[in-house]
Amino acid sequence: MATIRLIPSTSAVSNSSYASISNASNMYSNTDSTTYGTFTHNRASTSNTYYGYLRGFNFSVVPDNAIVSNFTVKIKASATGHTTSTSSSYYMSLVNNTTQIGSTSANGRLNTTVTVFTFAEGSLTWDTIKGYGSNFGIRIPMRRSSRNTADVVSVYGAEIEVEYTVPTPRTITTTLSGNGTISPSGSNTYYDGDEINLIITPTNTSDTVTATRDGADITSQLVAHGAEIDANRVLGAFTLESGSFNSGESWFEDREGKGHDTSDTTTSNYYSVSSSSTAVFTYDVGFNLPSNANITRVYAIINAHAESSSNANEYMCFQLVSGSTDLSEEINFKTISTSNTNHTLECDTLPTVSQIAVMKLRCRLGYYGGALNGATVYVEYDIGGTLDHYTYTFTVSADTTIAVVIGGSGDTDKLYVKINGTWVEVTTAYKKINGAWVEQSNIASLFNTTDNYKKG
Amino acid sequence: MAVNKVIYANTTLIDTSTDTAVASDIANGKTAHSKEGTKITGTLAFITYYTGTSTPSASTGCDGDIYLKVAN
Repeated sequence: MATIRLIPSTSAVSNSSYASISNASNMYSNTDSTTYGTFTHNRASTSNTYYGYLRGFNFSVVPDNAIVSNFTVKIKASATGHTTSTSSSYYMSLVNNTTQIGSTSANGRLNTTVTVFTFAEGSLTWDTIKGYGSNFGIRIPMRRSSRNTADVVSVYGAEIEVEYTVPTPRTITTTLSGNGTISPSGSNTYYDGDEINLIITPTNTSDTVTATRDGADITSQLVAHGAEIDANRVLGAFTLESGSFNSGESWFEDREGKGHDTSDTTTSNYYSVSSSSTAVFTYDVGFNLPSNANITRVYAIINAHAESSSNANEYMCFQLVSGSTDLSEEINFKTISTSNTNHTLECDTLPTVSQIAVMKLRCRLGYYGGALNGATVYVEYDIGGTLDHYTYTFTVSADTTIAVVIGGSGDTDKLYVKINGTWVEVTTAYKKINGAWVEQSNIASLFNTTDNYKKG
Repeated sequence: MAVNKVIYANTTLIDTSTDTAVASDIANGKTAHSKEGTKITGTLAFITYYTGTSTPSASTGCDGDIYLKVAN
């Protein structure tokens, strides 16, 4: 985590005939400053408000790929001859050029005491203020409390304190030996957390791929995927299982025969049970897959609706099961829709090849019923070692801390410094940038062989 | 004309003719004399590194300096 303080570089007044600026350069500091510049209300009037502006914050010192976790806008100021009104109109505020941004305002009124004020950014985001660029700034109101006494606002400095981290860049180099193709190829820069998909199309089984990260071989970390296969099927054999079914009052109307899929919503299986009955029935939806299939996804799309009624006991539930094992959640179309709608049943825990072989779509029915228009069950899998199309997916991640050792012994992947004859591990490293100490995440770049160093 | 050797009564009082230091060997801003006897100003710049057990104070060091924080 690095912290940097951006400072303003420009100042202006809303009316140069009645307001003025002195020692502006003193304002272009952070709030540690002990020297000041002034905005002055020059008009003998207590009825007019004029504004000073501090803008031109140096956003460019924050790296473009920085991830900003927090920012705070501050200003150090005091005022003499300033209005004593507590109206919010006389609070300092954040602006885009001359327009106040939302309701952002300082956490106090200007007064004779030199104070560091902060601004409640509220919903204001870093990307928004950075987008304002040199127009982003602070508006300082000037209004006299007494007609013949100038309102003089002394500004010692202002800042945007920014906390951020910078992803570590990595150079990933990939090569394919043989006549196939690989994409991306060559050397490319990625950042920690990036996911890289290598698409490799070999021409024969002897083609091999290698990959390095910052020169270190990571080929063994690549995850090979064989050819991806999608299989799907429609509903199979129907079995009524529950013993509570009241055949005198309940019925299943299979109008077009079982097995139609979700592409045909013009025909339906209708079910209805009496108020005293429940029913459980299943459809076979198993797949016979190769024993070495690598299952990647199993799900069903069901098009159905429950009959509309006010009876709280009514339900029409679907679930993918295998034997006594529930493969998916159970969904109740009574709570989903009383008109035909598609709904996806997902197996969050991937079933095995043997479980898929005897998979069923189970329906539980209570009271009234509904209509099942169709269902299609899908299985996605790949076969390792299939020579067709390989996909390697891996995530660039931080490696062990890169070694920089200032003389002496110690682990080669940590930074040590010798103090009073003893090697001590460095926990945090800083570099001074624009007057502020900024924590460094990439210790490897802290020292080099061309600069000279001396102990301070 | 620069002087790099002073001999008085057959005694060599000063002789810089075999000195090897040049401006890049001498700390930035410091002065010395070359083997030719001319005054030179050093250009050797250093990055100062500090060590400590707490977060560095804003008043410590200059831009480009390094601070290494170690455990107590």
